[in-house]
Amino acid sequence: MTVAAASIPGPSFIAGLSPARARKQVEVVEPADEALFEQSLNGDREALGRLISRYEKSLFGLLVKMTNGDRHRADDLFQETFLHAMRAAATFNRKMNFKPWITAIAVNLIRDDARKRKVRGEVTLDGSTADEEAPRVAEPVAAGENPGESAERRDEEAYLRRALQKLTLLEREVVLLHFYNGMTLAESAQVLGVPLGTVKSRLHAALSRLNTLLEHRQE
Amino acid sequence: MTEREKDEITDHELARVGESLARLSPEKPPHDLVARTLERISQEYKPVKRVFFLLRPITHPLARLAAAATIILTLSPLTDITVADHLGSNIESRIIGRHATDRIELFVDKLLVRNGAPAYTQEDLDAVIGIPRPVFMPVRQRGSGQTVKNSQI
Repeated sequence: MTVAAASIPGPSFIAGLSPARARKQVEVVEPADEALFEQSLNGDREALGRLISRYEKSLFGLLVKMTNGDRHRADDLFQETFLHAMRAAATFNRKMNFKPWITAIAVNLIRDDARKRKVRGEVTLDGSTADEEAPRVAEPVAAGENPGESAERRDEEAYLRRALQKLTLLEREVVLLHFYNGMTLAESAQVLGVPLGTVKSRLHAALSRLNTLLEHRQE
Repeated sequence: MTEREKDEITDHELARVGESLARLSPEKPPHDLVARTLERISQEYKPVKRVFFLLRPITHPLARLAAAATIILTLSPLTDITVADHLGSNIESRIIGRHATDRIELFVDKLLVRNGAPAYTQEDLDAVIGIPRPVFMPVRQRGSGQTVKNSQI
């Protein structure tokens, strides 16, 4: 796994190296996700901790957005995801990447959770809930951005979040995996367990719908 | 997103929406999320030691049925006494050996006599079957070394 050299307090031998060399050194030192998972299965708690930390931001962020901003549900689902991963270790193909596999587990858990909530009458499968009032972390003003621009950006983002909530669960999955989580279309297809063509058509439909919603706002 | 994939979204408007999504601010996870996740996993997940596959318990219901059927099919020929006898003598002569078999038989006999007192005598058994029990008398020697038959006594 590639890790930015600057973000790692790193061993002393990295100090004094050029950023490129340091990054290479870090790549050598940092074990891959798959290796960490293997160690975790053998009872290495530290390796498991490192693995969870690596996915803390990306997976938690995805879960929050998929659950329409419900941070408590996302918290539970995050824990469930890694618990399921440990239990289902036998199904992990060593030749596969860990990231699509763990993301697929998370996506399946979200679907199950949404289905259960629908049965209980708490939520519809296309997601509109009372989660909209879930608390948001205050966004700091970005560098070189005046408070007015920052407020406008936050306003746009809030509208985009609300527009996302109006998508179906299947549409939301595909746009978030591809654009927010930075997965390729092929990886998204692998995670969702559908052909590449289906991912493309869902993505197009979701973006068109979002575009329409955003245009209505401008009007 | 690779350049090739960017090209797949040819509509400029849609590409712009995608870029807005990519710019969505990241969610800040709770500070103790990793610790709580680790705690939950350590409570609920216990690493399973690798066991040779033939020694693992069969958990799948269909696999259990298949295993039971296999055992029944394997052992069913032994209900035929001819097959069982043939198999037993083969095991005795080729695998265990006569000497070992005798010792085992001796051991089992002793065990049965010691642990299980017979509930009936041979006389009882003969009486039930209807065999008249012969009167066995000692065969005594005559002075010259000739034997005397029972009828002659």
